[in-house]
Amino acid sequence: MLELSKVYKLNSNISLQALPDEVYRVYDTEQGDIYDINETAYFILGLLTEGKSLSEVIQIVHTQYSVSRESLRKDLVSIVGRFMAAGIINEVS
Amino acid sequence: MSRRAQINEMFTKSTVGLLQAVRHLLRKRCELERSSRVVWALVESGLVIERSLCDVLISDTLSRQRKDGGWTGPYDTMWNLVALKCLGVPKDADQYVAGLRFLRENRNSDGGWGRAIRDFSRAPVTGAILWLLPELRDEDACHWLVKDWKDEWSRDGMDVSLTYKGAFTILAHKDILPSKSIQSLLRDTALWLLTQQDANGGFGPWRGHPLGALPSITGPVAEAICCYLGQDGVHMCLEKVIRFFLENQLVNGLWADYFIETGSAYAHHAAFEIVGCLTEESQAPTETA
Repeated sequence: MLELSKVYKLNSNISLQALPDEVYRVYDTEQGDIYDINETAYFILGLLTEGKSLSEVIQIVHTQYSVSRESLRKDLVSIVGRFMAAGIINEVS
Repeated sequence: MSRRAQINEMFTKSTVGLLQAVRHLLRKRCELERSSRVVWALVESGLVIERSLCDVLISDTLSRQRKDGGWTGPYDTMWNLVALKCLGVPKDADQYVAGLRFLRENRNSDGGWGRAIRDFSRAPVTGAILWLLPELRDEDACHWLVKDWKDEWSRDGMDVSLTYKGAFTILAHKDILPSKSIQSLLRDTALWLLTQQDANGGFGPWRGHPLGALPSITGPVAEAICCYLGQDGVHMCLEKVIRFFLENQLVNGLWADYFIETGSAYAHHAAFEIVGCLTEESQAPTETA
């Protein structure tokens, strides 16, 4: 279960890329996997890279995009769960 | 596959190829400037490099810095400082400041820089320093560069002139507003560069040079031309450059050159810059009567 107060960070083998024309990628150089992500997911990963907790991410994304906090929280939990399952991020102990 | 998808595929392949190149250069303990140049190309083209690699690159770079603040000479010192900046080392960090001091202290009396300490001033070195480390820009260096380019450039076509010298002179003045006469010289230089494009869309030392077009020259020349997007012929020229990059990319994502990762770094960086500018141009509102 994800806790909003926790901090998650990119795994050390993960690189992020923003290309022209709103193309966003995640490179897993250890596994050789490349993922296409959308702008919001890229934005969230960028915030996690800066060491922001999930609740801080919700606050920032809420300010940036006009989405309700509740729907944001659900989306974020789902996105972060998928990122963790793919080995893109991990919980900071 | 659409052209846009082809371009994105090209970026993906070159990103993977350049990341592998950095690891290889680190493992082989190659000249640091080579990996530094690749770091610059990757970070400036929107890549947030994985933390583990960043940490190794920063510690390796700093551990090879000499007490005088430089590495071996002005040129590699410039690249290593650029890489440190790209990797997030603050500009007021002691070792970064020491590197800048080394460059200020190891400059020739004419205002330019050579590759090594006792080298004569060279346009590609001085131009690259002023372009990538704008904190070192001053009148003396710009003046030397412009004078050197005026001496080099044969406007009447009676002699050949080196495209990359003109390109670095333009790039050294990027984002600043020089005097009107220099603005005019730089614009004329960009328009002359258009005439030097080889049939395959790339650039060599000059049009028709026996070596043909090289990514390490095509990159800086195209970026210099890109500063003049909106002028006649520039859009078409840049489209041809992208075609050159698409058609000449190797299976491993890199481009063939003397130093494969150097040409590839310039190509990757220029392609990103060009595609960004062309995208912006296509989205700009058009004037209506």
